[in-house]
Amino acid sequence: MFEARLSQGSLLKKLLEAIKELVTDANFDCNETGIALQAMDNSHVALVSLLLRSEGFHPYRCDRGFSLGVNLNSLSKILKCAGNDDIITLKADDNSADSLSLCFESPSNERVSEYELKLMDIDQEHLSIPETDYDATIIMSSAEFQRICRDLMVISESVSVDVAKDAVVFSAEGEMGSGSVKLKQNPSVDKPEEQVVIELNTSVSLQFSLKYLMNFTKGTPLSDQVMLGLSENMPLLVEYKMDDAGYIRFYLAPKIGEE
Amino acid sequence: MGVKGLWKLISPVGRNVKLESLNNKRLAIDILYLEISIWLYQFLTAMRDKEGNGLKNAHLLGFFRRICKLLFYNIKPVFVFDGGAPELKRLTLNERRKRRTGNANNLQKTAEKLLSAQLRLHAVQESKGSCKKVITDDFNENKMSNTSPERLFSRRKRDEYDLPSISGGIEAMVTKDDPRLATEDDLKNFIREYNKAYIDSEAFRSLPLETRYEILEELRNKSRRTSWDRFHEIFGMKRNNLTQKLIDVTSNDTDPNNTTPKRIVSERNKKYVLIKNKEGSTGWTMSSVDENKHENNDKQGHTVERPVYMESSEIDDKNSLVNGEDNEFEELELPKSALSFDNCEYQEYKEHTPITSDDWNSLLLDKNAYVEDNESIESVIKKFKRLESESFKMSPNKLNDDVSSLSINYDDIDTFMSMEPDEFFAFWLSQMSPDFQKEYNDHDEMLHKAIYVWDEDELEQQKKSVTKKLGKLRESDEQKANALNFWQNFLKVTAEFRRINSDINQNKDELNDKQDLEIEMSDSPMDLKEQKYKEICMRETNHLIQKVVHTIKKININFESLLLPVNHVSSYHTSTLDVPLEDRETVAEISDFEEVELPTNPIDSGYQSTKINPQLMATSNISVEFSDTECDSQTNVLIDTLEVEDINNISKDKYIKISSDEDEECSYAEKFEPASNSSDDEIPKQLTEEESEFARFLSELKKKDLNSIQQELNTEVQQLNEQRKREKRDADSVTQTMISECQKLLQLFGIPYIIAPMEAEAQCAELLRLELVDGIVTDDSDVFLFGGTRVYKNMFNQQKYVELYLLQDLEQHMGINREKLIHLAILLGSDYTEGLPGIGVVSAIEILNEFPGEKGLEHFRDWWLDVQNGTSGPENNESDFKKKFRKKMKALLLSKNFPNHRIWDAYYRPLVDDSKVQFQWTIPNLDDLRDFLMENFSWTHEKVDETLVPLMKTFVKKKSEESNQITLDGFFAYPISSSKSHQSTRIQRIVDSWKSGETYDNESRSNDGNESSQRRKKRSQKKSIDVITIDSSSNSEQETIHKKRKRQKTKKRSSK
Repeated sequence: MFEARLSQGSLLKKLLEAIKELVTDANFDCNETGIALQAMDNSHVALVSLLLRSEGFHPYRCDRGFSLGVNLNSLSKILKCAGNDDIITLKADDNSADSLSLCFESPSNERVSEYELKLMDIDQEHLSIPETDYDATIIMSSAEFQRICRDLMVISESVSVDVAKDAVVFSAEGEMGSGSVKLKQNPSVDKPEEQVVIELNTSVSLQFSLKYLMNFTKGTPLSDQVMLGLSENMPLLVEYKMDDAGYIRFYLAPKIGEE
Repeated sequence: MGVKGLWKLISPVGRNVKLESLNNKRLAIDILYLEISIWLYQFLTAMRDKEGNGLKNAHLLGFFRRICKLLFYNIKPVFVFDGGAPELKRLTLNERRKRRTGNANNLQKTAEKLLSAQLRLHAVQESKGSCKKVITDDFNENKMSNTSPERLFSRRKRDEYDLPSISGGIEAMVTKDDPRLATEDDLKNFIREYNKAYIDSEAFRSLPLETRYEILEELRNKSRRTSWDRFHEIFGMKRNNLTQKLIDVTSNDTDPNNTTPKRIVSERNKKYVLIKNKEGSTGWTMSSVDENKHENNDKQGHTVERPVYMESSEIDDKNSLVNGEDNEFEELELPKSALSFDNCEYQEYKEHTPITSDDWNSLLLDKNAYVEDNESIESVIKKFKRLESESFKMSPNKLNDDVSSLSINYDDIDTFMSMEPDEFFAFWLSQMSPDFQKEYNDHDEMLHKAIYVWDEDELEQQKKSVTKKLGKLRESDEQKANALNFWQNFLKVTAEFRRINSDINQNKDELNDKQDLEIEMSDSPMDLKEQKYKEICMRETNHLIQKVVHTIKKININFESLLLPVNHVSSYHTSTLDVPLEDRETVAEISDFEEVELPTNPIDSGYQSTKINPQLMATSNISVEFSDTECDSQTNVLIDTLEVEDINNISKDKYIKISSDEDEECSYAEKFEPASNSSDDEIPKQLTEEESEFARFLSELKKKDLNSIQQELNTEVQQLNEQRKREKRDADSVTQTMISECQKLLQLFGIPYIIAPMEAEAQCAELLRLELVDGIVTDDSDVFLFGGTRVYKNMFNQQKYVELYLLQDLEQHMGINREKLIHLAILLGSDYTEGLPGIGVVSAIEILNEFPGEKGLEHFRDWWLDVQNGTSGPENNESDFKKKFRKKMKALLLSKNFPNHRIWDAYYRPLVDDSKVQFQWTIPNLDDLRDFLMENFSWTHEKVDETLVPLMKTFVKKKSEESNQITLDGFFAYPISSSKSHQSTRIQRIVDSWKSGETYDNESRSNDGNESSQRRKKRSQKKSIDVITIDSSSNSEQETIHKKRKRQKTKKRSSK
């Protein structure tokens, strides 16, 4: 028996919005510790890894680990039927899960709606992602990151990220011209939304596809801050932490080569 | 191809791959081309029409689509073609080829069976008048749909050496007497036929001298040979004529000062030479070198030949020339102007000829006589030529008129035959030439008389007189000539008409008799009527049947002429109907008579008549219809006739095809277009759809008008067709042309390809090793044996996922490495070895398990030889496997050199090109591609653009966007999560043991004795250790999940 009750229904809605563009079908792997999802996009360029810890749910019950194969688009559509303040309860039979039942309760408990989502059998590869220490980690405002990506998208399809000791430069070069955004280290504790923290071992310069980054920034509503982890010739990590409820991590393979 | 059963064995470690993830990957694509190119072979197999015939350029079309697919996913392919086959492979290929030729023989047999089945089916169908209409419609559809591809092909670019196609095939072009294609015998025959009439014609004179000489010589020799011929020719003065001609030919156009002897005729023992006189005179002497007798012979011949002149319709130029010598030039004009002689002129001629011939002979012998005569001959010739040209100038008009009017007549002759006398008269009145009207005031009356009054003899006389008159005419009198010509033609046609009319009248009389009978019978009830009819017929058979047999022939002729106008000259319908109606009724009776005479069932008789003659078939069908429906109304009959027309067309054109297979034919033509439109995956669908549609159609057809026999036959035909399809498919092979065409296409697409020195798979593996490519696309499992580590399977199989096999996975998850794979290949058979008979994957794995290590197979061999020699140790100590194997494989024979070491060499050290030059990809050349596609698929410009332009757009876009985008695959190792297991539990057990006990194998290789039992123990230990370690190391969530899985797996395992 699997049951998870999430008091902040909006969280699930936002999560789905963040990943459904990237992945169409995915397995939610449920076990005692929580719900996890890992999926690569079709072209194996980006990977999304999602974790919702059991602590985020009240209550959370999962007797044994199992997978819920879900079409994310369908789930997202059903979740749109839930109000932002609704309490969402997920239920499934862990022995023979062929459907996931969702129950939306309005805060005042006046309205209860129930939906059932048919599950699918998804044969998916699980990548083992090593925990790496990145050459550079940047913690910055998620809104700021989203804005930078949006702005530079005007110029080009790809952005190069250069991390120096006290500043990070996002720059793009395209047919119409070029543009760059420089963020200086700003460890202001008062205003976390303006905070820019750079931890650097060695300076890094990498190029990424803005198309994918734009997709990642759909996770902006989930968190005020975003963490970027960069290492030379390694995939970029974009992490949105949802307090104690869990995190959503995006990995993006860099662009390499002459261009 | 590949190691037998290997794919199945390793299927659990295959990873499903999305094509999108192959973006920007460099893949080596293996194309084998000795007989078994898996790729091309697949096209040939898949792209077949209903009949099993390969589509034209099917391989290219398939190739094209595959390239498009690769480009769409932005995959960078490198195509690797086979260079040659190593010796080992050739041996095994030979075996396969043997198998294939056997197939080809079968194919022939099946085709024969199919034909006979279709014929039978056809026969049954023929007998049923009702089903005909349906088939006719079908056939017309066929015709319609057939035209479109032809039209398309006409747009093809012309090869500069391409000749326009011959309509109706080469046979149609070759007329019977085409000199270019004649054999020597033909020529001789031709010359033999080229006698009497022609030597005097203008055409003959236009021949080159040598040819004329040859012909004359031949004829002359002939005239000496047979006595009977000679008898005629003696009277016809033929030989004389020929001799004269010969002299003319030899003397003509030669230099008068040339004194060399001229050979005229030479035979064995005889030689005639014409020698110029040496006395300075211009005369010629003909002397026989061998026998002087001959001259006398000749002389005698002439004198005898003289008296009678055979009637000949042609102008004898030479004789008239001779006449000219006798100063009778005025006579010349007469024969010139006319096309034919009339009798009086012959009389005149006869009077002249004796003299002239005499004179000629005397002249011939009198040398002195030549002096003056030579000149006169020249002048005569001149004059003659002048006259001739004049007459020709004049005659073309006449001739043309003549010819055209005649041709009209012959075209229309069928029409006339079917006319009633009144119509006939009316027609000729309208056709009458103004000249004729002017010439003869009583023209109307003349025509009328000719048609209605005169009998045949009279007509004949008239005709003769006209010919005479025509002959006598002077060239100036054009009007008269025209009039006479018209009259002549008219008379000819009328005579014909009268003759046929009289036939018809006869038939009519007969018919009336029969109709009387029928009237009698109609009183009696229907059932009785038939019987009675039969009785009457029986009585009359002796008398009538014979008559009928005669008339049926005549009527058939009439019928043919009748059917034509029905089709072409619709205006004559009403007129024709009167006669044909009756005719057909007669035919109806006739066929009834036949039935009486041969009391078989109607189907048989229908079939017989069909076989004999389509025309007859038509008539019998009508007769059936007549007797069935008894409808006499003219309109109905008209429709029937038209129907019969159609049926006739079919039966003539597609006599055999009339059966249900016709539809298949049609679907082929239709398919070509849509098939080229559709993408890969649609093809099989379409095939099946069409198949079912066709089946539905067939069943409808059956319901309507086919009986059980036909159903049976249909299924038979279908079965045979399927068999043929199968066999044909297996017999086709990939040709060098196909390969080069594919290479051309690759060039146009800017895709690099290499031709491997030997095996393509080996080259692919080498490319991967050199990191020139990122993976290998092949369906040939040999590639692992050559060291391929990253193999994509099912790349172009839409029904299946693309599967990625990593050698690393094989090692990790199945404990199978390259060495084991080669051992497997030796046991199971591959391109290099036939394998051991009776050994499948399971036993092979078990053998490998039993005899591990590099020398495992040698151990196996030693053990087996021991077993067979009875020198092996006691059975009790042996493992279960060995015991079982002993029992099962008693017949297995191993040679001393069983594991052929050349196989190892072949796999470990294949001949490959190890150049490290990077491959280059360029943007497809759209313009050239257009030309190429137009040429090969007859695609229009628009269609090519439709297909290629969007492809090019995405291609270019992806190239610019994502050319430097790498994927995550290289960063995160992803283990196989699938818990798929082997179908065979025996394999699963061994594989599991290998997987966990690789190290163990190495340890315990030395102690051979009770290995397996030890191993089993150890295996179970290992398992438990495995589980523990996993349990202890559960840190991250990911791993917990894995642990869970493994736990499940172990559960499963232990439950086994």
